[in-house]
Amino acid sequence: MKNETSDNNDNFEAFIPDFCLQGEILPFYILWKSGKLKDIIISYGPGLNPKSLNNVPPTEIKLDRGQIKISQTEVEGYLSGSFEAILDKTCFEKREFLNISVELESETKNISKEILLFRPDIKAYEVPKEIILKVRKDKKIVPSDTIKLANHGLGTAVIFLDKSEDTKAEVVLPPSWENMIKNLYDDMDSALQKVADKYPQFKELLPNYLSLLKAPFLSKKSLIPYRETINKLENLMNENEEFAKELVSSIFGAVVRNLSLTRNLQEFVNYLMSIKPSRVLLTNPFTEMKIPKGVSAVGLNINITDLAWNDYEIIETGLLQIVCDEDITIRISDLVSFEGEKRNESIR
Amino acid sequence: MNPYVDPAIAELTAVASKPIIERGIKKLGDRIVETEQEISGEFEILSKETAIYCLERVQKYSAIINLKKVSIFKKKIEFKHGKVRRCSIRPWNSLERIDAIALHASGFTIDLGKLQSGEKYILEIEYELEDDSFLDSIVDRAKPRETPGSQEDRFWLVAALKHLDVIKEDYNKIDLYDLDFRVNVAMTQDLNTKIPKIFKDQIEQLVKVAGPLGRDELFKEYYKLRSLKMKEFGRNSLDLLGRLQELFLPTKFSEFINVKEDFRYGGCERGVNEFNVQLSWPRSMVVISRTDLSLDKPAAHGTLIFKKSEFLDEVGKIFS
Repeated sequence: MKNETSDNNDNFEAFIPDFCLQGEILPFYILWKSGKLKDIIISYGPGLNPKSLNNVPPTEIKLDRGQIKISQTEVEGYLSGSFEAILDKTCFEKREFLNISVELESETKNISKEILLFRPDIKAYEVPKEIILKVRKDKKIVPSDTIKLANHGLGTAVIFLDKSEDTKAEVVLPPSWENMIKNLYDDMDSALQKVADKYPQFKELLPNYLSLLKAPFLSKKSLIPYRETINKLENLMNENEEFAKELVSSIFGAVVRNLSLTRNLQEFVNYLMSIKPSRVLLTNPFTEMKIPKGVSAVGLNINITDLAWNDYEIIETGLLQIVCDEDITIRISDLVSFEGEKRNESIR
Repeated sequence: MNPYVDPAIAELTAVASKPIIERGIKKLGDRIVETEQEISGEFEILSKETAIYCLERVQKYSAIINLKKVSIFKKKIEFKHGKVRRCSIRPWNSLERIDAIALHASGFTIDLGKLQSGEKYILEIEYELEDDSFLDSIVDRAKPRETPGSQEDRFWLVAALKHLDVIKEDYNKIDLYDLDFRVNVAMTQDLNTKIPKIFKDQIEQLVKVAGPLGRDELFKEYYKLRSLKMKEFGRNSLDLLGRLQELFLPTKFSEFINVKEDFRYGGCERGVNEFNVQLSWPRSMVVISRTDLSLDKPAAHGTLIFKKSEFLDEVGKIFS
């Protein structure tokens, strides 16, 4: 891929990025040192939606389909703005053009870019009708097959695995994990309270943040408030570095206080389990499903978002049969595999 | 009467929010104007500039001033235009400060009795930026959340001033220093491929042995751990974990970072995982990059490079 480059000469400095995750903001700017402006024409493809323009009086803008014409700037020699890279549900990777033509009385400058607009693309390419769970002598659970998923896109997919509504099997957290999380969050609660006391202007946002940390499992319903809170928090951290440091250190302080050797090791295992090949992150690698002896009908809902918090259709596997000859508790993530991943074996 | 503006264009140019931003910028500008009015009673202002130091969150005003004749009735000038963090006065040709400034809750006082008529001085005032959203209201900061690169992650960074006309109206010269960008650099992609499966098995087995188990079960699990330990990595798995954690220390991680063009490296820290709770094992590091903006250079761009393959090579070396 071509690197981002600025398109500069003695009189002009311009910048348009070469890539953008779909759903994110694509900025641009152009500076010129001398020469009276006649007009600027910005032409753009259908994958881009104009979002902001700086240093232009509203009366000097003409919007047409795929084109913005600017006849004057407020202060000479500068224009900046941004586009939104539109989420394209039909195309996970495409190139879109953005051309800026600046006509001065003395010269004309054209800047053109083809921008790679990308996103993740998760597909379930094989769903078995039946999975037989066998327990080996060393107590490892070996599934006979898995639901096979693949990410064909260049974007990271963030995945939360859940059971379907018509699945009766119970979904649980491992008991030791549940206990650890409770202690950790109690500590975080008081740590964040101290941050809130110090920065009362952010008092309303911090409890929201904690509740999101407590229940980070993504569903369509939770995605919008999650996205809003994280975006607000990011802006505040950008704006106030002291606040950013205080927040990060308070969270890690709580972690360190709760750190025990076992937990650290367990976290490491979960951490590795959550990272899948081909840019996939699992949000709940440790969640387990209790499957009773016999034949159970189990369906999975694969909830997907990405790093721009885009909303994707849930992939429903439909009901499949899970067969086992004793009661088994298995990690849900062991029922799926990702392209490029070695088959999982779950230790009981 | 204002001319009709198409709603789409109004949104594009943030017409609705402009008056609020104007007030915010004007408030800071007014503070300088009022300060100058006070100064100009006793001093002649020869040269001046205003800068905003984003890192310290201060608005700094510097001026070269010439003291007119000191009135016998007015020995002190009081400034009450906002909370001042630092203020100093010194002869224009010396670095030695004169003890003529006293700070108070809403400003400061200059004791003219300690200065000499006809002399030139440099006055520096640092007002605190009280508005938490001031920088966001005047600067657009854009950065990608991820990059499509495989060997290297190259994040573009763009900072651009908004409402330049308003800023220019209130400040004939203004510099914004150390404007910060916090970029989440994910470094866990492909990490799994660099960590041998046998090592993961050992760690998982270690967790089981450490957990609450009955006597028979403990014996069985310990036996399994022993057989795993006969294989590679078994004896020093904790040491290896420690070495892996070291890669996430800011000083070490910064070796895999390069920031260039109009931006410079400003430090890094462990990221807060947004998606789940493996908090002691970060999925990303936050890399801070900084740039400066001014009326002469109202926009800047840079590239933050994460040398991903070099980072993964380091992970690989731990287990080699």
